[in-house]
Amino acid sequence: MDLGVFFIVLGAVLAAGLSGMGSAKGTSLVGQAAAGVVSEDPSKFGKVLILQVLPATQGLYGLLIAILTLSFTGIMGSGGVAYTWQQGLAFFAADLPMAIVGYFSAVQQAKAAAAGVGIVAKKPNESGKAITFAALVETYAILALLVSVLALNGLTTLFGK
Amino acid sequence: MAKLKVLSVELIAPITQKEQILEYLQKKGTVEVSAVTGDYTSLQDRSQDRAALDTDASSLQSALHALDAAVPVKKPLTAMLEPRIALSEEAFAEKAAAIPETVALAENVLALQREAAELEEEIARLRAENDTLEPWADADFPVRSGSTGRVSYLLGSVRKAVTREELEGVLSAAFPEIDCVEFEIYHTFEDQTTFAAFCMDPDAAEVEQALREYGFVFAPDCASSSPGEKIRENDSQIAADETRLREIGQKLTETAEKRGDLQFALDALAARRELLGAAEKTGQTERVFLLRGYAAEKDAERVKKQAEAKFDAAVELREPAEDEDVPVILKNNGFASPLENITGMYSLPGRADIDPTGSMAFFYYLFFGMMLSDAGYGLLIVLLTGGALLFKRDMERRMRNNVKMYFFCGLSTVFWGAMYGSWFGDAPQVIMREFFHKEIGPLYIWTDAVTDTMNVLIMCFILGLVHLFWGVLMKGWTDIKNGHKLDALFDTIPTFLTVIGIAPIFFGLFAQDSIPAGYTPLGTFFFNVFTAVHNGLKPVSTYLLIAGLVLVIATAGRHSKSIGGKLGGGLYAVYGMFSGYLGDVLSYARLLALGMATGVIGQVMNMLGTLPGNPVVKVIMFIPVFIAGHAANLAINLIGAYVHTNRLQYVEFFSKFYEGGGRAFAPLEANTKFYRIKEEN
Repeated sequence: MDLGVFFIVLGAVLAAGLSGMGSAKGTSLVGQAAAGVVSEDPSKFGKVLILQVLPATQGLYGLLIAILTLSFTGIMGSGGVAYTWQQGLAFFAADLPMAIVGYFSAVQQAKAAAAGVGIVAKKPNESGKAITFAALVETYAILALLVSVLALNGLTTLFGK
Repeated sequence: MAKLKVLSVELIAPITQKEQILEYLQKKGTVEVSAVTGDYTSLQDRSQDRAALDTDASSLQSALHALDAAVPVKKPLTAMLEPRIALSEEAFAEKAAAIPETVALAENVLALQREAAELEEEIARLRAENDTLEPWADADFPVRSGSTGRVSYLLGSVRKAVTREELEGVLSAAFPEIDCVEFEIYHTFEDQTTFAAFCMDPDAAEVEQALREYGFVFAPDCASSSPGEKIRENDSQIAADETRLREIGQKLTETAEKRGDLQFALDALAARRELLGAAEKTGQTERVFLLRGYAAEKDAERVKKQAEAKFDAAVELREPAEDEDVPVILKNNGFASPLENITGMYSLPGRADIDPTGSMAFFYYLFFGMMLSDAGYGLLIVLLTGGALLFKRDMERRMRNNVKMYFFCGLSTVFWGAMYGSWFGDAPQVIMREFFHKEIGPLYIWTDAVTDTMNVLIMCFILGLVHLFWGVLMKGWTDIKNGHKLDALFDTIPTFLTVIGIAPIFFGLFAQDSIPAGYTPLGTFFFNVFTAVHNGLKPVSTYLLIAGLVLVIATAGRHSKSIGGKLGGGLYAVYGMFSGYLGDVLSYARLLALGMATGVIGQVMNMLGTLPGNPVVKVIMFIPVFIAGHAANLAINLIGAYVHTNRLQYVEFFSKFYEGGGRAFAPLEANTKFYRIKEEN
């Protein structure tokens, strides 16, 4: 086995791993703020839960990229694949946007969402705005996801596998 | 799709009828009462009455909590669908007469609860005391040290395991001259030995000194009785306390049957409190009072007719003045009205706004479905919400609207799931392959979002562009509504020309030259239409773009006074248009991303469930993994679809035309939780 497969797997692992770390950190951060609100008023659980789940999506996007990487390259499924190390590095690079932006956007989104928990605590009727503030941050994770998907797609076509 | 016309209501009536009139208005629940300002002798102060109500209400609330803790109610999953209990007016009045008794009952419950807490505390204290006394239970001395007159004794322990011989050794080492000492060991633990030491009275001080140096501590004091007796006393007290606790539990259980009465009283007090709040807002002279407020046109007329017939009241309706803070009431058809909550969460329409609810309904459902995008999940939602709508026709309006919203979202999800061929991920294929050894091909009607990313992405951008243009049209419509017909043209046409002019360049980045063989008919159709439009636009796009840009530069700065300002405004608008629309359109990529996430994670769940090789284990494993995995996937993607659909409406769509800032209509009504008065005409 050439180094190619190693780089591909490394990319997939980083995409899922870093995004997952970001989401774990993010949901924990919002969860702590949310727990404070719920201890005062348990009826706000539903509203703050939505805020807590917001930074969880990056982890899912990372998982998505990892699975697409492994299945597009044939590592998952068909088997018997060979890639040169240059090809492997190209796939690795394709996974990087999701890995990096996934991590940072989850943490940053969590900060916006945790501040939004404050809105829900004081003005429960304005929770829509709190959600919107946090959702804006996610745009960049979605764009990174898109770039990774497009690059993976392109590379798969390019290498004719 | 509209804001209802709201009229200003003024009602003047004799003070003697004030309560009745307010009660009547509260029952109707259609008039918002606003504070009267001006030269009236008094605005009534009812704060003391309100404080009294609050005290009672808080007793009732605490009593309900206490009852819930003592006798938990098992709520079925469908409890949230249950409406408030409807009572006729007579039944309501009859129950209302019993409120003082109910409040007394609540206070009784609270007293019982306090007593129970004290008893539990006492039991815990006695148990702890028994635990510390236990090692001396065999000693029959009342206090820890004393004398019979000739013989002294010391009751206590050292913090290690020792034998009688060792203790004797300790003593004889310290005071060899004392020879008459006796030890009685009660318990030897690993780290403690409890015992009594006996000696002649004159030796007591020396014995104590020697033992203390060895680490001796006295046993806990139990006053007049010996440890054993004390333990028995405590035990009987604990038994008595427990009996009393059971009695209290019994009483609470009996009272729990009257939970409904407590809830009713709580509701009635809340309604009464609102009434007092409204009463405080009215102005009055010695004989008459004046009530001001707002109501929807139809309701206002009905209230005028009924109030003037029933009471000695004069009601005047008029159009609100320009600068009045008029509340907003939305009225939409059954398809759009569930989304009024969504509009409300952003902001209700301001004075110059149209109600955006109707205009966003179609896209709201469309986008929601596209992001959840699994026909299996959609079907599940449709069945659950459809069932609720069919079989629980008496749901409260707000709940009904929520359920309805998810019903439409579910329909759209089924549609998109079928387009993408996702039924619980790839469950049909997996089940057929793993359990029946049959390969069935993909089920999509249009295409597979995961492998055919480019074409789906283009579709997302096109839908996004249509959505944005629809928003621009709404801007034009708002202009027309406000009587600015020229603005309606300038706000829409230049934007359309510019964006359509630039679109072919943008789409050229993504468009593919040809489609793979064996592409679905629908996909081929979309591709051909897109290619035709794309190629048709290409030659004219430059002219459209130039015309659009000229118009934008010429018109966008039109509200500026100076020529320089007009030109600068125009140029700035061009910049805004390019950066804004590019970002806006790209934002619709989330339609693809979230849709793909649902599908792929669903597939992973199916894969995990079919990992084992043994067919029997596979079935046993598949079912729970399938249920739990898809439930989790549905839950997280449901939230994602909801949040991001809202975002596309709020950020991309509303920003094109909508200002917001309206105030919600808050009528005087009985804001109750459990009961309501049945409507009669």
